[in-house]
Amino acid sequence: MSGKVFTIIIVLVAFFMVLPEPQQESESNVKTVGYAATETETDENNAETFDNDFIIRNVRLYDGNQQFDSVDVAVVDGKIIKIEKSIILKTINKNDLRELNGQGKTLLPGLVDAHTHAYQNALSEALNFGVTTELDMFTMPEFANTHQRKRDHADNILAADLFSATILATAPDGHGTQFGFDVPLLRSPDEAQLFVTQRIDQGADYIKAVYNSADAKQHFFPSISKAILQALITAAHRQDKMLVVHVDNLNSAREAISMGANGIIHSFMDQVADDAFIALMQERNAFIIPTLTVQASFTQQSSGLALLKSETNLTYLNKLQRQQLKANFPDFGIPKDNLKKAFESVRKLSNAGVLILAGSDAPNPGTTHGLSLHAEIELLTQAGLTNEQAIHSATGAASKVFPIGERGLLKVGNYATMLLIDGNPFDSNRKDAIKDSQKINRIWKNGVEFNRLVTTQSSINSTAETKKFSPGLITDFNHQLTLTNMGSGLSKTTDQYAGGKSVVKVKLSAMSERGLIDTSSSSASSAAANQYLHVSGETRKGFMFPWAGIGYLLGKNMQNGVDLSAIKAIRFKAKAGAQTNKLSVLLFQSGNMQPIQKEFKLTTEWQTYRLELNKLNRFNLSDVSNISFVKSQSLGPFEFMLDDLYFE
Amino acid sequence: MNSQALDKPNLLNIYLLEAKTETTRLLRTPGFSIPTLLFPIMFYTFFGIIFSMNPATMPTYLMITYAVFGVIGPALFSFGVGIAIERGQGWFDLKEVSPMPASAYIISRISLTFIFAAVIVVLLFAIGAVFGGVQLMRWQWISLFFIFVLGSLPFCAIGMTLGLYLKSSSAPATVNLIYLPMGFLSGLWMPINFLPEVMQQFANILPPYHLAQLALKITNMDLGFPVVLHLSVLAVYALLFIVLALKSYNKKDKQ
Repeated sequence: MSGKVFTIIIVLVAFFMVLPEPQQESESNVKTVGYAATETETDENNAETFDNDFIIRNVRLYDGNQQFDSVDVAVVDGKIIKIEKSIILKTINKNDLRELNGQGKTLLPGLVDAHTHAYQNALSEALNFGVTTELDMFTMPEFANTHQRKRDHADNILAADLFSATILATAPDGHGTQFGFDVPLLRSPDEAQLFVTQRIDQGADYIKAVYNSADAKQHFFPSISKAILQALITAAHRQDKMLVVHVDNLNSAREAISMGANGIIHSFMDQVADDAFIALMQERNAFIIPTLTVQASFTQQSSGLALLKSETNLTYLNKLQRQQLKANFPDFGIPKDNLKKAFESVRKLSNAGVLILAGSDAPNPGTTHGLSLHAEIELLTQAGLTNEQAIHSATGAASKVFPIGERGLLKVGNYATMLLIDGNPFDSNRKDAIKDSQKINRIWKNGVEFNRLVTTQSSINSTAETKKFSPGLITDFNHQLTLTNMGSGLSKTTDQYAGGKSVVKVKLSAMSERGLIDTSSSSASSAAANQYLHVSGETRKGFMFPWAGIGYLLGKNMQNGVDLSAIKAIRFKAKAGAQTNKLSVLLFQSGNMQPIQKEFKLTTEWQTYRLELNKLNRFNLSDVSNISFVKSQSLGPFEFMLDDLYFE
Repeated sequence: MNSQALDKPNLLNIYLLEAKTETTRLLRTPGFSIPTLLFPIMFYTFFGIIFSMNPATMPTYLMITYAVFGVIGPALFSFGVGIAIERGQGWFDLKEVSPMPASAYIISRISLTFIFAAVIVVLLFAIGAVFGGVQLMRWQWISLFFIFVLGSLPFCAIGMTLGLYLKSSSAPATVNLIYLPMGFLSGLWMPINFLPEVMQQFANILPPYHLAQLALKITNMDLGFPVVLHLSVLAVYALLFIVLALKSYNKKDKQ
């Protein structure tokens, strides 16, 4: 009897040992399949994009303030309409929204970088790493205004939203004057009012000042006086603007806050925040943007090189960003351990409930837009914040003080501006869990998925200028099958290139009044006047995304694109063979094997179709390598005809 | 072996023997064992795996609810139908006059329920894991197992009461009439939020709903009510039906 019981128990234990556990996400997700080898995201989800209307199921969600283990998020018309605990909610998918399985993934609000200097492509570089809002702390008003105007428009989906202080307030030869911009300077308190008014007129969302107390031990730059700072604060507050102060030591921070500044920038490294300062910060409800990333770089401990070690990160970093991350500050001789003081201040302030905002101060040496905010989040955890606090500082915290609306919050009614990451940055059981924030799976801006900009090694190396194309006829097929008036001509293209088995045949055919005649069977002279391209073949199983058709190579090869920014649209005539058929037009950016795809429904009658290039989202027209006309997605035989390809 | 045990009236032996013979008897009664084992497994295979509406969560969710459905079955049938039939046959009276303590009778039936519950749960886990792709952490599998097996207890109390009140001829039909609709209305056949709002409200008074919610907490698929609520509802049901059973038992004695 006891023998039997024992056996049963053993069998039961063995049974529970073999029951499957969820797999820890593995690197094996990165497939390397021929054509797609240069893409980093080839897991099955990423084959399609999810725009405007979709549901993410079973996803861990952090809404900017609070964590939810497993929820379904429904997005309709780009806005979040429902966030509900996942219990297989068939109920909310009445509209047959496409579904994305978020199991094992985490959905975060678009990140807010509370301290950057934005110019050039900063805002798209930021978005490329999930930073959807940048609080600029000094840039030229012209740049700021261009982007400030766009930020409240739903179609601002290719760049982060910008808020800016425009020009900072500093003294003659003070910090901020060394960059070669023409900066208005403050010499006396009387000028403060005018300065603030001018900034606001120029579109400043808040005022930034650089201040160093007269009592400070070190003076790297001349500073505005205490009286000027006081006058600036008064003037800013009178006009309902907040004022933040750049400091590099505790005494200056103390003075700035006691004079009424709303927050301080940079966790000073001269000494650890004392109890009096912490009490002052609490009492004034002031915040701090520690910018530990730049502090680390400043003390020759830049996080930049570590970020460059990740292949995934590299894929999405352009040449300039890589240089920025590699760059170093000159060695100012500040002891490395001083960074620990900054960490300690941040820890104490955070424990006291003082609001901490994550800011990267990109693109200072060792930092870059977007990615460095992830480094900042990680450094904040090293300083002693919990993972959740650190992510809060880069999401929900910013809108508590800055006038940025509900950016950084994922709430019902808001635009779906968010990022889906692989893994769980809140996992307290894994030491490196916070690094998961860099494992970006998808990014949405205002409900539209952002096609992350990929930089390949070859485009880093290439120095050639891209050729600029002007509107005109590409080919009317009346003379040649493969040659085109511009570019490198047409050629057959199939997924055999990637290991597939699809086939294609192309030939020129002639059109007559009575119908169709093969070139071979008609008189050459009349046929030549009105020929078209006949494409037929079969898409077959063999590759994940079967395709077959004809490709138009613009530059010398797939790595060399041409500039199509002068082209408004591609116009072409097409008709289907026996049956109506879908024609896909694929547009490739140079060095990027992930095309943009547009579908056209062909009928059995000739029709003119237009592909509006300037209306394409997420596509950089200045560097296009290939335009392909193919049958893709579905399997089976196909037949279509093309004629009169034009750039308009 | 039987005679040996009767020679030395050892209490533990009595318990074991009673449990063993009852188990053997039930195993030899396919009319009981086949439906109780097959129902939940068949339903789960159909609704949880073959016609699953959301392959990511449905197999897990329904594995849990059908396990609840599964463990309630033996509790209601072994107690409810079993006692009613034995009463009808006079076997119950015979046992009452035997020197065996009454607790042995109850404990044997509880262990019987546990054994059947365990078998059902193990089968559902195996099907879920192999065909439904269910993946849970080790602690989740194990805690679910114990929640299911122990969770059958309140239903033993309900079954006991039914067994003492019902006539032997009508017991199987009546128990089925309680078992199946109660399972459905508690959201064991399909997720509770598929049901209309009114029915969802109604589920609150049904004990299987609360057991299912407890188990779903382990995989974070519950509706988010506190554990204490579910536990206390189940406890109240258990107590209520134990009291009812005692009342009925005593009443029977006085006749």
